[in-house]
Amino acid sequence: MSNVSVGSASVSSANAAEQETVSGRRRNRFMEFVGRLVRERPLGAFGAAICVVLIFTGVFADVIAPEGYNAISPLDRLKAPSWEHWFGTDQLGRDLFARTVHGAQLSIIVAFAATTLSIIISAVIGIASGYIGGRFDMTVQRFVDGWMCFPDLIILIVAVSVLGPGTGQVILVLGLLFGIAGSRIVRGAVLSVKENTYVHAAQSMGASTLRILLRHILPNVMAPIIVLYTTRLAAVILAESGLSFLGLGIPPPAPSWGGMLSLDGRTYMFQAPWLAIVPGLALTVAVFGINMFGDALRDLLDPRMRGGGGRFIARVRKRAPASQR
Amino acid sequence: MTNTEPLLEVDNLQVHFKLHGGLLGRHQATVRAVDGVSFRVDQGETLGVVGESGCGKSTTGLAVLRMIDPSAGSIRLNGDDITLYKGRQLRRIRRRLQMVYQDPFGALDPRMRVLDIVGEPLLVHKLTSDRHAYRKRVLELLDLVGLNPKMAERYPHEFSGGQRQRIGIARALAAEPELIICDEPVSALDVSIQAQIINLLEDLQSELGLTYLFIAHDLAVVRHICDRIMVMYLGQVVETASRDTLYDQPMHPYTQALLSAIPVPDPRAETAREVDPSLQGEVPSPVNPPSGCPFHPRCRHAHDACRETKPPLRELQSGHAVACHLYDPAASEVNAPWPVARPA
Amino acid sequence: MNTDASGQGAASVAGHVADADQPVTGEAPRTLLQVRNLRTIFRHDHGSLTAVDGVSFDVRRGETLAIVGESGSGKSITAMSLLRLIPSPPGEIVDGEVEFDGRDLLELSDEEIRQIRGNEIAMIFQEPMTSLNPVLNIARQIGEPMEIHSRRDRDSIWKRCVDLLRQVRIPDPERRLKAYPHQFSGGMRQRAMIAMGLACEPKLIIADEPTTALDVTVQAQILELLKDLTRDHHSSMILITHDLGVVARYADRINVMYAGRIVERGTSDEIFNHPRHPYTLGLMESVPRLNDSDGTRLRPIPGQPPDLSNLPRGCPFHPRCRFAMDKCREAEPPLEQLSEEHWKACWVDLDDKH
Repeated sequence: MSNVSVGSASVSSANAAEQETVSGRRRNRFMEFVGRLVRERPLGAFGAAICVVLIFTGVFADVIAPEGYNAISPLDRLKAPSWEHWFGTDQLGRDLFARTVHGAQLSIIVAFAATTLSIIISAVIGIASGYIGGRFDMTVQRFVDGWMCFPDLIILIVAVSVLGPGTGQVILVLGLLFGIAGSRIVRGAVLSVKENTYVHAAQSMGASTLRILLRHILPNVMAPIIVLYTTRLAAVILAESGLSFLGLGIPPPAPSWGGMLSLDGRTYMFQAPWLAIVPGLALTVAVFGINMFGDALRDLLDPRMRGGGGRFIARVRKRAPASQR
Repeated sequence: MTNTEPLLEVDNLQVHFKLHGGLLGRHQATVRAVDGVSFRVDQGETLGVVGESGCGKSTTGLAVLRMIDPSAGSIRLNGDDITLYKGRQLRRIRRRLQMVYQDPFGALDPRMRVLDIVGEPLLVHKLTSDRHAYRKRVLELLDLVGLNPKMAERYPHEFSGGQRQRIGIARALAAEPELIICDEPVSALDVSIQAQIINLLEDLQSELGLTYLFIAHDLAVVRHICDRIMVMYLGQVVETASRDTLYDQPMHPYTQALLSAIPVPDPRAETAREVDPSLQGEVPSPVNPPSGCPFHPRCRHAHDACRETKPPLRELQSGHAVACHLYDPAASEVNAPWPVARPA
Repeated sequence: MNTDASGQGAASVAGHVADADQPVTGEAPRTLLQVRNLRTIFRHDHGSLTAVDGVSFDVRRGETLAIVGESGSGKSITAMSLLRLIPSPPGEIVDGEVEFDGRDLLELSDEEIRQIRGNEIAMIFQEPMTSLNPVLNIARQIGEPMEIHSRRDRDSIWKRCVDLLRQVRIPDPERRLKAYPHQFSGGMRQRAMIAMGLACEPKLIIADEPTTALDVTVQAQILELLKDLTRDHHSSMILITHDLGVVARYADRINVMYAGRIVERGTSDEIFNHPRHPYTLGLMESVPRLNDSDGTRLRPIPGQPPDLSNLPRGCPFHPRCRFAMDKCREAEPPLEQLSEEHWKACWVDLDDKH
């Protein structure tokens, strides 16, 4: 195979031209992506905008609401929304806007930390179990079955009563809970991806298992993982709120949306409905935005969807080769 | 054929799959997918393996590639017995054996660029020193298989079936393997594209001195590209011959039936063509193969011996071996070899 | 596109009525199905593509008409358009007439077209593995068209099913009818599919790649069976395939499709022995044949199959055509008649170049 260098001169010139366009392309990739998001998935773009606002609010909470979430002012108890207090005040006279903004920060920290933890757990268990298969898969799956037999709430209550309340504990428990349940979804995706001929091709060319997992399996299960990530993100925010609502989550005075809804909102629902409406609305909008963005992300990240009419062409092509089988 | 060591030598290869069933996963049955297959492939030649679905031709290919563990027998590649290789040793041997797949749509990772797909064997086996040499080599390979090197940055879905098959061939060539196993490389392609790929495989062979194990069900395609042909039925070799001998003087009744079943794109020849009426029914299940000769339930020449004993593969002329009792010199009271004829 | 056969066809009816093998009852038309200027498009986010572009053809009573083409030629979409089986959206039949036995199928209500599907026109698909429902036994599936379209009782449906299985040469039909699809081999499933198609004695059978998924030895059996059955029942068949070998033996007339258009039409003999379109010629030359003399090189059609969303100007085949002239790049050739049965859509006169 020594005479492979046929036409290498023309190749190297093409090479140079190619590299130039590549660097140009890379610069534009992000803007191109944003453009496609707005054009092809406007609802996703709207969701993305909500996410950006949410993250921005969380990161700059101390700038937006410098007085902090726990500035008690007995004179301003249960004030209705006004120019001074946009969202009104609670029973301790704390500004609800400031609390909501700091609540966003808390939600974001908990959501990202717990979701990231859960996805790592899901991916590791799911990919290992699905790809290795056999007895290993069998054992792991029976463990997962056992774990999932316990209602989530019982595990949570046990964990919180053992570990005590606190942000770190909530993250750990939610991460573990969602992570193990989510491993099923990743495993399912891996099982179907590993049947593809290209995985077989990689094995037959002598690629190591690690390489196959990282280069072939992982990128091809990214779509479900991303969807899992975004739905989990929303679910974790909800779960954390639920826990705090039950008093098992992040202890007061930290401004968890769920806690606000439960402690203040429920108690003063009739005198000061904004105490329930504002954190409830914040929750709803955040969850909606994350879900919309997640769906759009999944569609746009698939290279088969790139370029005009990708989805349709893919469908027609799928039909076409079948006629030759 | 020279007397030198063959490139690939397979001796009495057997691949049995155990079927498990029931609550406790007890062993229920054994599928004899490949049941005692022996052949050799010499440097620079193309051996065709043909047969219908379930005949074990693909399993044979996978066993040679060591993707499936053989149950018995040996596989020697250039003198190295690779039958029992494991782990790192096995991964290294795979540089020397590459495969071209049937399905051009599933064989390429949809999330990798062509550059990364074709170059992967180079990275896996650390065959290039730096990124520039890597890139140069991949572009050379694309050029070699007739693709525009400018397409290296694209993803597989942007290509048609024939182009994808070219990408798959470029990938198989990347590590400069000693043997390329082609598993139905053109059967999923459009008619007008099949010829392009067949010609490409032939050109690459003469240019680079490649050796192919060519697995296919289409006897017309096989005739075009192969030097020698091995016909399989239910996990066994029923006939092996050089190309011309097999097509001009097929001896095994199954080979004859197979040849007579192929439609020819010519209405006049077609109206004259007689479909062997004896060939009714379908290939039996390899879980429960017939006794004796595996072909006897569909064979119009079957007699008692066929039902009882399995005919061995006997070399009747140099390079032409048949496993059929009709040609058994001991059992001469049976019909003389049945007339060898085929409408041209 | 083609101002064609309606007048011509009518004229030839008079001439050929005598040799048609159904009884000559006054004006019994010789054509069963008449397709005129059929256009089917698929819409997508950025516009639409035309999968079938102005296709016209006739199916005569008792004949087997083949539609030959490669992927992207629109052969399957054409067949599905006839029965309005195009998924919509994204597909849409935007123009044309499909006259079947005096009715325009494209004008019928959904209920009326359902009465025709499986009853007067049956379709046989290529995937015997997925076209049968795995949870119903064979009797239920073969009997289904009769349950829908006829008022037979259970007993007579069962009897008819036994009879049908016998016709498609499945041994031991009573026992087989109670079996489930997974207990059947590929060839048996395709036979069951054919039995299903025959259940209501359709006037037209559309067979879309009926043997592509099967082994050669089984393929021959199935095709012989189809041929015998259509002959026995005096039904017509549209045989859709990419396999020229299959067509040569079983088709009376052939339509060759490329990029959603019919590029050549003729009798089997004309198409195979005197192809007049460069694409047809290219197909013939690129097929490896058993009887090739050794060492001949195949002569492939260069280039890639047409990309329907990005067709060239002029003749859609010109980028791959070795005879292409300037005219081919500018204007699309119409389908024009060469002789009584032979039509082609090409500017080049192949006889000059041959």
